[in-house]
Amino acid sequence: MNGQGNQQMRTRNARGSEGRTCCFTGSVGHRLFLALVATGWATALSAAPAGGRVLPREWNYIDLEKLPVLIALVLFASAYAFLYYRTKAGRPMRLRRLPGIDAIEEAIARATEMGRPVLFIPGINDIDDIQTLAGINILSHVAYIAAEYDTPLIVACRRSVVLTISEEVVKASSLAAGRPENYIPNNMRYLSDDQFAFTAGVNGIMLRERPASCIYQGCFYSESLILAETGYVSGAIQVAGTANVAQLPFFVAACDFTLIGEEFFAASAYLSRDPSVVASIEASDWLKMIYLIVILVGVALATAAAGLPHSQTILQLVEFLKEIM
Amino acid sequence: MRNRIPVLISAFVGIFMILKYFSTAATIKRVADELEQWGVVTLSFSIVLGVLNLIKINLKAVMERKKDWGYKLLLLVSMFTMMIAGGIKWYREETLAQSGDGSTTAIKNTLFDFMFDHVYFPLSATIFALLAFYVASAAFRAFRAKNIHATLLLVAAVIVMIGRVPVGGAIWSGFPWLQEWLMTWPNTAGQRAIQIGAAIGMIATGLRVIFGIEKPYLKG
Repeated sequence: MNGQGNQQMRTRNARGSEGRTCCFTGSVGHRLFLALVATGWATALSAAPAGGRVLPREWNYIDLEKLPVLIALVLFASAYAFLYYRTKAGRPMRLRRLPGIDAIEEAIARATEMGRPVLFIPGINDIDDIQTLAGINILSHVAYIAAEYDTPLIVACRRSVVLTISEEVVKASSLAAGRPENYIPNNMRYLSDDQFAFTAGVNGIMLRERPASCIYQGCFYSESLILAETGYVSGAIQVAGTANVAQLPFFVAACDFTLIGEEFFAASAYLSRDPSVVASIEASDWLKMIYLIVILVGVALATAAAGLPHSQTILQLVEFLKEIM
Repeated sequence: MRNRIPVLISAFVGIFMILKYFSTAATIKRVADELEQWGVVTLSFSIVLGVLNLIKINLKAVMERKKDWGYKLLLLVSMFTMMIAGGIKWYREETLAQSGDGSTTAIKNTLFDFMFDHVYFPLSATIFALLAFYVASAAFRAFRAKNIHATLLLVAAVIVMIGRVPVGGAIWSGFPWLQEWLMTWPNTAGQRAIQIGAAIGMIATGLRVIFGIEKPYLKG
């Protein structure tokens, strides 16, 4: 686009000029688009201090209160599509090394050397929680590695559906590793639906069966510290991962390695190296960059509004940002 | 085909849930609510699977007299006792409701209530109470000045712990203010940053599952 604009500028200047050209784009269509955008912003800014909403609450059955989320979703989907095709075209993938994910394989190797089992807990929530799905993703890799090393794997579940899916996942992973005998049905355990009864049951497994490694990947609540401390007492190496912000400090304090928030969701991409999954991690990073820019702009405007209370333009911009965000 | 049908079902239901969130159309909300009800009913049946798994593993251990088989027997006896007691209580309440005016009246002082209030509840509270001691032992292990990050953690934890108790204000009047500032500004900023990252990760994982890019429920 910029190249065409420059070419048109040279042509018009050579002819003796047929009018002014835009400084950064040459086509009429682009100028019209920019004019429309400018008009829209001007309308929005002028409407904001009137006390009414800039945007209606609903438009064509779309709830405009949730417009920012829809925009984020569209941005993410677009970035993902672009990055996926770029990855398929041969662009190399790069993922930052995460000590917590590398530690998972080391933990299983440690269990193999000590001749003791690995204990895996895919969180305490049901299968409708995205963290549980992410935990089960990691379970498939853990089961594969455990089967390769011929290490027993115990999976403790709080929900029946999670147990059923975990059984299938471990069975399939053991088969894929060429060791179907590594899947032991008695090692797939449903303990209780009750939070603390489940915790007591897991503590019992840790103290009786003495796993060499405990891997907690999923959604946890107040039982997180009880599990981690009991795992420490039993002498196990512990790798935890959760997106629950309130439980992260306990895992960080009590476990050897912790996957924090987004690292937990990136773990499956890191372990599988599947291009389609890695592309989604990169798309997440792009979305984070956009959020960062929006936050910085908002902070700058809010600071400027506090310092310049009489500037109507800045106040209108701040109000507009508050409304759409 | 065996792998495609679950993926199609997952995509169909997932897309409807997304549409329900963004749309105000009554039809979409009705369909999405119906799908949610189907999910609840399906999950309710799954409790049977969990009970069967418990019985299978523990009964086998009891019959083979494996190590600690007594505790497994106790588990099975407790489970069946509560199930029977709960069933009796439900039956009595239903009978009362049918013989009366049709309204549901809770019957008190049953065996189920006794075991719930005097056995289950104290046991649950006991496990929860372990947290207090585990916090102390975890703090004792974690708050060591091994490197710069651990030292920062130690200093922040000490300030917050002292600032939150009355004796902190007695030692120095700035402690309560400092701990309030720490919890309000740096702590909240850090938490929000993690939450934003986790939320984006959830969007990415959710879309991967809905559109079949990742199929954690269908490994093999």
